[in-house]
Amino acid sequence: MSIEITETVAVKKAAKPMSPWRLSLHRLYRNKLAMTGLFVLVLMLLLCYVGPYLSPHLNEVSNIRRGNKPPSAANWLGTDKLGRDILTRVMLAGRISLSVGIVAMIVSVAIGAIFGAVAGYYGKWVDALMMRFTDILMCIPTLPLLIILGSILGDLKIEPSQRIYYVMLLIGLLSWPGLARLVRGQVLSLRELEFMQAAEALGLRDRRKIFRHLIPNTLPTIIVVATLTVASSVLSESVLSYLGLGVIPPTPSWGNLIIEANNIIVLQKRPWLWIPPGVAIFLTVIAINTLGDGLRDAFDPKMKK
Amino acid sequence: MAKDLVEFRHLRTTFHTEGGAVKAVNDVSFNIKEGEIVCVVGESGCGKSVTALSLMRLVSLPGKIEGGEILFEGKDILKASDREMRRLRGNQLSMIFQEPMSSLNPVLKIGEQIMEPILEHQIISKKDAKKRAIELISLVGIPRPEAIFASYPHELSGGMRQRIMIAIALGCEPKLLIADEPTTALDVTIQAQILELMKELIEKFNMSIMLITHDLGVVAEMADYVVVMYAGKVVEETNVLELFKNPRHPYTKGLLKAKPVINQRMERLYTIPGQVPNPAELGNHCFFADRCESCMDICRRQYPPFKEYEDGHKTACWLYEKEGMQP
Amino acid sequence: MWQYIARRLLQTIPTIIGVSIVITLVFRLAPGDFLTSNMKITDERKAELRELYGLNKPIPQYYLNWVKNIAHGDLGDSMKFKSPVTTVIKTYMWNSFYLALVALIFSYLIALLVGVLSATKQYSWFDSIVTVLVLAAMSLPSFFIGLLMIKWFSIDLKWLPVGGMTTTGSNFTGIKHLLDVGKHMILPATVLTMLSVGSLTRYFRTSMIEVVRQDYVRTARAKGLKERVVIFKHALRNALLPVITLLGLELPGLFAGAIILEKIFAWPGIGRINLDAIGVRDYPLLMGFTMFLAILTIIGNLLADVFYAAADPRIRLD
Repeated sequence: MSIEITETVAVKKAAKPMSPWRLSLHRLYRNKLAMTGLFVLVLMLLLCYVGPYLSPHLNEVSNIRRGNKPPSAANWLGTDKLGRDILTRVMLAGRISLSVGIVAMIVSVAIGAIFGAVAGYYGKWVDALMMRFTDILMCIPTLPLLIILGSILGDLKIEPSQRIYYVMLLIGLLSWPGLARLVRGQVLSLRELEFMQAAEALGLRDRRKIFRHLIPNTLPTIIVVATLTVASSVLSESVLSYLGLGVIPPTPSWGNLIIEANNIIVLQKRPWLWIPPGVAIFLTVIAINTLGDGLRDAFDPKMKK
Repeated sequence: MAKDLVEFRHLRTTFHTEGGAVKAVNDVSFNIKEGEIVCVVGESGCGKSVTALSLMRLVSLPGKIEGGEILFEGKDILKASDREMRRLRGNQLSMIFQEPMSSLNPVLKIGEQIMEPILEHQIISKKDAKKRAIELISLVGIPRPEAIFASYPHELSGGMRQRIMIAIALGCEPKLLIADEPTTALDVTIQAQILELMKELIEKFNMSIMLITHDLGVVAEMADYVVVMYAGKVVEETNVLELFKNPRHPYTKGLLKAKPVINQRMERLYTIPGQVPNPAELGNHCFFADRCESCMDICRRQYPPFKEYEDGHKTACWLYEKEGMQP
Repeated sequence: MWQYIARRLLQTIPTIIGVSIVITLVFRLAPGDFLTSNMKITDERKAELRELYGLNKPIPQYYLNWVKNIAHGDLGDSMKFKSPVTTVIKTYMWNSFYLALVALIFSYLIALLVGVLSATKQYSWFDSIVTVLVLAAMSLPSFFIGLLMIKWFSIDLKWLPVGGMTTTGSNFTGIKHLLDVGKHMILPATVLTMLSVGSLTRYFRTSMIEVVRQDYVRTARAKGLKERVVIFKHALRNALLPVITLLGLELPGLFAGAIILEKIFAWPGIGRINLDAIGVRDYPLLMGFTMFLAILTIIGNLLADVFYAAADPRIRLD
């Protein structure tokens, strides 16, 4: 009961009419945790994409004599075995990891949303077939499959610089089923609502109904899942790269920087080599998850309070 | 002259929402006598349910009882400890709610749910409690009580569930039964049965009922005394006959006029013009001013005092400020 | 009830067939196999072995053969271990199982406790801290936290062993053996628990919050029941219903082995075997094991539905 009071009062108080989007945005602003997440995320993005340009070590020639030095004034996070500044490496690696996360999400959402919308819209045997296909994919454990496909990438002897694109595709291809199910569920229930019957009565074409009417109403769900998918994609990439099956050197990624830790001496005595990228992954992912959480609450406040 | 069982004295319950403080119950005072049926009438959002929840001290956040007193048998229960309050609930004070479909726990059997308050508040063996529960099921007019005792809520219809709610409420023979729109969610024929049942039970148990409703038909059928609420305040109160014969407050008159009467054809159904005011933005004027047909200058400037007139009829309206002024 | 189960089982058959086809395609279409990079065997011998393992057959034929064997309980033969896949699985699976079971029990217990407490004390500082911790737990990169734990507790503090399931060179039996395994299990089980406790806690918390807002909880309070009874008897019972479902879905996880963590902690489980098999392209083993896991997933889903129906009297499956 109190939710209705709150909303009615808030809406009545506002001078101009608030669209559902503005209402949600308003709720998001007031969520301190989510805003903190957003702040940290923006910080990370700036650090990784802009940071390197501010680093004096960006185009240094590697010098082994400067190698393996612990954090100092010159190198805030120390140097790696080739004398490269770790902070700069982490920032550059971040570019890769974040890009993979974002592009993988785009792939996943594009496939998943359309798949789910089509299945939910057409229903009956189309839906049954498509959902059966989704079920099959969801039965196969993701990580092993990811690893296998990553190994195959290695066998196909793809150029390291090209690999990153394949990795993006790979991760995206394995994460769309979840979103497809969600979108399909939403579409199924939205389909019965009156505004869809109105669209039908107007004789609109299927494609228009799906793209202009149904999908926009599923956007809140898609946005939330998309955000969380970036987080899981970044994690997937880091695992793959750590196993040497994702992004491989010389292209740096947070995951493959941690490979250093497999050496017991490094593990014990040179933590500055592998802890920073790990912390970077953690901070980025938690920021994204926090934001995604906040988005979910902003779009559907009933669950929270 | 029957004693006062419950006395609401200047009760104030406020909801602190993000949009502002909503005074759901705004200085409400009235009494319920022993053995009396008091109907609290008003539109949705007027504060009648919150008043009842305040009496049970079941107001949930962000609502809070901010002031006033509620005397039950002479003692202020707002000052009672949580423990004392808990001992009253389900025992001397019972409440049934509007939605019988969701008010029963779906995973527990009916019999269990009836026995709970009995076992909690009385020193009684499980066997005897079971017997009592079966008696109660019978008492509320449900056949085959043993079978019902062992069934689950989803196996019963809405009407039956509401009867079960009544049975649960009566377990410890309470002095006051609060019924919050008990029949609103039920079919009209079932409504009549439930109301009939409630009247029978009053006689049997000599208890008082605080019946909350928005339906004047129910008021006419059940009430001894009526309290009319609007936007968190009491605007009129008197005994039922007087209310229907001689309503004073324009809102009450509007309600009565708005109720369609069978066999009476009208060009247009009457509705009270305007809308209920924003609960967070109430001013110092009469809350009903914008919608009132008899609105005067002073109504927009000051809130009318709540006064008692001859024969115990009370109302808050500037129309009657000067005694002898005919509406 | 049994009719429902039978019907559901029948419905899973197309899915199982679909999964088997996908598995076959993925593994057989991949370039290279176990023998490709092996320098020690002559090409002739390789051809012989390929013939033996049926790798020369056209894919549809291989598939039919494979499926026929599965129906008889034969998941094929591992090329690396030179023994039936079922044997390999049996040898290593239980190690993973014990680890996963311990982690499961702890994560459920902690998640329930914290989730319910957090829900009943909504808006309190406890709830806020829990929210942050939950988000943190869900964001941990598994391998990183594993490495970190090893560094801190095994190497720096030397409190716990670095890896493996038993102390190398030891020959304990009975209780001593159990204690030894237990000591080795602490770190990997802790990390496993940390990884899954986050989303579980949040799940229980949400479920509890939702239940506490229900009308029947208000009714329970209106009856004057003790708060403890209201929470545990009325609210919790309903909030726990989805837990039952979850347990069914945990089934495949119990036997799949934690691939990354088993590698980092050198735990001799089926997850590590899986990873190694991928590395050497032991396709028969991979196909057999993946099929096994897929079937477990399907059964797990079925169990989840059945459990839920058994626990919730509102659902009757006719």
